Amino acid sequence: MSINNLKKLEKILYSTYSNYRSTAVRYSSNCSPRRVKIEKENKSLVEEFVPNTILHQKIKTLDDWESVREKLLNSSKQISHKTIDSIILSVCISSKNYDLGFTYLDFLKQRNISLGLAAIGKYFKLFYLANCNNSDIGNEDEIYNLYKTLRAQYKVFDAFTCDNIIHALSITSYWRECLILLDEIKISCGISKVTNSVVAAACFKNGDEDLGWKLLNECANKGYLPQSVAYLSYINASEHSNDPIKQMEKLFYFFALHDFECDNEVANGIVNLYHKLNLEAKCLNFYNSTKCKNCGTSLTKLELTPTNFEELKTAVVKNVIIGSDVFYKSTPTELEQFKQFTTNMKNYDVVIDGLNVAYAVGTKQPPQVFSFFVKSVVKHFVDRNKKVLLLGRTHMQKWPKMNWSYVTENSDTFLTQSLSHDDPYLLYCALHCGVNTIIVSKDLMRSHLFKISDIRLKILFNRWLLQNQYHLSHINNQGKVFFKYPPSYSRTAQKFKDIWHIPYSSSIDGDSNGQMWVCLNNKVF
Amino acid sequence: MFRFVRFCRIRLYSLDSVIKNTGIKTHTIIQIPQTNYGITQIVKNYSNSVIVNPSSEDHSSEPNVLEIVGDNAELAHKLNVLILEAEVLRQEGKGVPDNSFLTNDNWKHLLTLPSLSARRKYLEFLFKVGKKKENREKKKQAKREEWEESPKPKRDPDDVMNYNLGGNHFMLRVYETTMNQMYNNRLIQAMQFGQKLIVDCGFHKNMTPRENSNCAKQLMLLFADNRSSDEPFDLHYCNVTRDSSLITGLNKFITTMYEPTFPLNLHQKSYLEVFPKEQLVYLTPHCKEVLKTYSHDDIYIIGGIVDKVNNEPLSLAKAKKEGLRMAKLPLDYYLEWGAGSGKSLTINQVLSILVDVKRTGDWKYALRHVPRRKLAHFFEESATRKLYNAVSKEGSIATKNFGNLKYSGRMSNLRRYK
Repeated sequence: MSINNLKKLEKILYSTYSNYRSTAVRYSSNCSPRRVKIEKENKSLVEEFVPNTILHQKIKTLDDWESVREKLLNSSKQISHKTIDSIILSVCISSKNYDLGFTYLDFLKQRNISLGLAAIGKYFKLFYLANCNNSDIGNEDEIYNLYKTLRAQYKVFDAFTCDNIIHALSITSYWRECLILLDEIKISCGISKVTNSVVAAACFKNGDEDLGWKLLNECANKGYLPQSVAYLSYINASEHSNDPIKQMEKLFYFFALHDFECDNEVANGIVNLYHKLNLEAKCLNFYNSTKCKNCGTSLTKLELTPTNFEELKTAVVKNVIIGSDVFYKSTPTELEQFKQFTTNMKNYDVVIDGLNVAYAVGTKQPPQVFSFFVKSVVKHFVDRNKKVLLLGRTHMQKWPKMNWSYVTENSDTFLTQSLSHDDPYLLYCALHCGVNTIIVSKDLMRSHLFKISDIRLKILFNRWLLQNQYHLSHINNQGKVFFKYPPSYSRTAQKFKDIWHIPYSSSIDGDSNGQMWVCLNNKVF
Repeated sequence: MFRFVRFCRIRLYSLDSVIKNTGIKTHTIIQIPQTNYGITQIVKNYSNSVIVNPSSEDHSSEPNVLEIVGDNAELAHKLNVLILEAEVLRQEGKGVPDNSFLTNDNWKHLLTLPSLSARRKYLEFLFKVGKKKENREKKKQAKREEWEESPKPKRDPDDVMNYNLGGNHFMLRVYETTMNQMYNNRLIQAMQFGQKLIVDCGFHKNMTPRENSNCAKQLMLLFADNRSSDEPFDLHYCNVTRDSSLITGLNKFITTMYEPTFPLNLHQKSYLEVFPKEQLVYLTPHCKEVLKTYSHDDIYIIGGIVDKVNNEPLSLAKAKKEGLRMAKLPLDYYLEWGAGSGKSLTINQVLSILVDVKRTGDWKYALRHVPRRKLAHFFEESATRKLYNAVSKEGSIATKNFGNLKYSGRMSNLRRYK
């Protein structure tokens, strides 16, 4: 008997035996199986149960708090004496019910309950949120003293606590302490955009403009959008300065440099300031037109400077084509071949992403359809006397001769190996040919954008792509091609003579997204 | 303004209680008088209402800073910050394990993480691991209690099922060591005559710590799957770096790995130096060549990569660089894939497929190792099955649990396997 058979037999015997045994147990025990209750972490508890208990109940007296607190403490294992204060306060903060938070703090004081660091952090946050719009804060010193006591007690502060203390101190006259705390955050992690903006707002408010701008630029260079609290504080401060217009222009150039859009609140703040200075200012919707109905001037396109262009080109080669390893997307010999190709290259007007056009209606089509699409697009541009370059892969040569021969006769082609990516080469060719070269592709190139790690170059890349890319929308049976054309203006803050146009996103009417502008006239009547 | 309104309301609250006592209806008074805006603001002092907790924690369970970072003052400072950060998160009711649960290695790993959210995720992961352990213990305890309470089956001393000598069983028991010896014998036979298979262990630098530990586990499973198959491969782990986290992780699973008698070939050298280049075929999912017919003469290479985070074509680049032949499994030819979960397979699944296709030459049979959930129609079928189970077996309870199909599906599965 082989060992396998032996094993099988043993298995069978054992299973019959164990069956026999287990049935015996089941019948003899004759009682229902006990349910084992297993504690699991429950996220909905903090997100639903606690808010419901606190907010749907009228809490008027401090005794009400007593009962609510008891109820919460008994409800789950997750809420303990250690965590409950912080949880209740964070619910008060997230529901913007600051009064409730303060009454709870009163209650804690009355019952002589001491707070942990997390809850104290929440108190700082609460103080900031309740007072951030107040011009005069009476109990600054108390906050500062509390901060000092904490300092004495704890050797270090963690990022959360630092963050909360910064918020609270930024609206007091002790705002310079924030700068020390910012450095403390940097030990363990980066500074969030909110914290950065809050401190910048404090700087502007207290007259340290240079420091405020330094913080805002730091924030922008990291690719974070500064919060409107900083802008509003700046607008407020510049209202009282000697030359408000000049101050505001500084802000607009900042917007233009980083391609920022402001929000409704900031836009209104700017308009109000202009009205106070007796200047013309208006928020309006452009409804897809390039001409401003208020002042009659047109929006313009921002051209990339030649140096910017060169920088972008080297970045594409270095980060996108080569990356960390040439072999990921290409091979060294292919790269060499390509470099030779580009040095002898003519200046093309149009660069076409062959496969993107071919697969416009999906990859499950016969090759006749692919080649017809490519031919139609090439024909479209050749009929308009454009010089066309087509990038593709070597397997395109196997397409039906009739269409493919038209393509090769009327345009130049560069075919990469089937294993390589052709997008990076497309980008490089288009950049090489000059500022006005058109790219035909539906690809938004987000993955390549990501590879260009420099924030400034990312902005340039986006600007360039937005202005030069034709999106193929459809091709009819006669071979007529329809494109989605790029807009003829850039959506960045721009100045024409004395008139500024600032883009802003209005949260009120979402339909007109990307169409709202502020029109500002710097000229005094 | 804001504070003033609040103050008014508090005063109203106190008014409220007075009014309640006198029995007057309250709802007429809740209006805040609009005309009082001009009155100077009365600022209430909130800082008074905070009492700082005097002693934060008992220091017995605090991690030993000196042990973790040595005498690096900067790191020690950072660690102190992180300890406090964990404490604050714990006080906020987030999932953070106790200090006593966190080991020195955990803290060291936390120190390497760059951002707040990364640390929070890691702490939450550890918290869940801890909870899982706790629950397992609880379950075990409950089972043990149940077993102890229930009357034990009486064993008949004359029963033929007894294995011991007094029981007079007609066969000898097959012990696990015997089975192990049989498996190892097969492996050693494969080393002499079998087809070779290479696993490239040189990607540890491209993987995150988590991926490395997952990969180590998969390498262990790969070895086990190969060993228990009828016709195993002669396995060669190439590009092995002994002190990499991947290989130390594997060594934790297979402690006898470095013993000379252990039936596994470990090479520090590259496969190019060990085997003739013409015979090598790199299996990589990124290439265009499809492995339609399995060749018994080639030596296939599996890349030891778990790519959860970055999915750059590492193995493709390597094979291209070294000029090796490439191939991918014919996954699209034989299977209809569902949307979503991707076509990635674990390393041990790839081995199981190769073992089967070597033995049978039948791709369709071999590809049964691809997880069913990744295929099209899996969810439709499982949903109808669950619905059917819920309706037919649960009876009246089914209507109650109808919304929770997943639960009832699991229950019916449990019943089936009992």
